[in-house]
Amino acid sequence: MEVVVVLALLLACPLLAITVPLLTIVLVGLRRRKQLDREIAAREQRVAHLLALNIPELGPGRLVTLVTGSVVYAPDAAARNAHRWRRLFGGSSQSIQLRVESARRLATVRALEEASQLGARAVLNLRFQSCQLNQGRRNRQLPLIELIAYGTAWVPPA
Amino acid sequence: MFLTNTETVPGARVTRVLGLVQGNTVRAKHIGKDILAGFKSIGGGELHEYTQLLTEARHDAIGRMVAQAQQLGANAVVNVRLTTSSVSSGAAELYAYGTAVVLEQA
Repeated sequence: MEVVVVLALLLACPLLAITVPLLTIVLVGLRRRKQLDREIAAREQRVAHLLALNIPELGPGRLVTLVTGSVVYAPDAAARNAHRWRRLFGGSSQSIQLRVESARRLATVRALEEASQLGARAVLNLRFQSCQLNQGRRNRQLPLIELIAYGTAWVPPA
Repeated sequence: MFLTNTETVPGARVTRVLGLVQGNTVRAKHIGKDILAGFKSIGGGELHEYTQLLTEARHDAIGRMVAQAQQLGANAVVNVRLTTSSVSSGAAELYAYGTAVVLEQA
C-alpha cells in the first residue's frame, strides 16, 4: 500500500512541478485580461461624448493639436497557447485577434482622453499603427506589440 | 507650435511651405525594468513600463521634429505621421515626421 502511495507521489511531483506554474500563469493572464477589458469599457464610457473619426474635416470648428495614445501589450498565456494550436493548421487566430483588438481600443481611448482634457468634442484623422517590438527567434513565443492611435483634436465653434 | 495630422487646417491658410521636418529616437530597453516587464509579459497584459518608455521616447521624437520646424521659422507642422519599428532585438525606433509650414488665420 505504502509503496503505491510513494510511487504515485513520485510520479505526481514532477507533474505538479510543471502543471502548477503553467496553470498559475494562465490564470493570472486570464484575470489581467478580464481586468483590462473592464477598465477599457469604463474608460470608453467616460469619453463616449467624443467622436473618433478618420476623416480630416468636420464642419466649422477649430483643430487644437495632435493627440496620441499608445499601449505596449503582451497577449496573455491563454491566448498564446490557443494561438500555438491554431498555428498547426493555419487560419484566422481569434485568440490573438481579440487581444490585439482590446489593446487597440485602449490606445484609442487614451488618445480620446487626451483630447477630452483639451475640451475637444472629436478626434479627426485618426490613424493607427502597430509594431512588433521583440523580434528574433528567441522571442517568437512571447510577442510584444505596440499599438499607437493618433489624430487631431477638434473643438466646435463657440 | 501647432501640430496636426491633417493636410490642411480649416480656417487657416498655408502661406509658406518650409519642407519636411523629422525627429527620431532609438530607445533600448532598460535593464531593471526589462526584467520586471519580462516576468510580466509571461502572464500577459499591458506592460506599463514599456508603454511609458515609448511614450516618453515619442515625445522626444516629436520634440526634435518641432525644434527643426522652429529653426526653419515655421509656426505649425501639418500632416504629422508617427511610426515605430523595432530596429534590433531590444531596441525600438520612434519616428515622427511632418511638413513645416507658416499658417495664417484666413
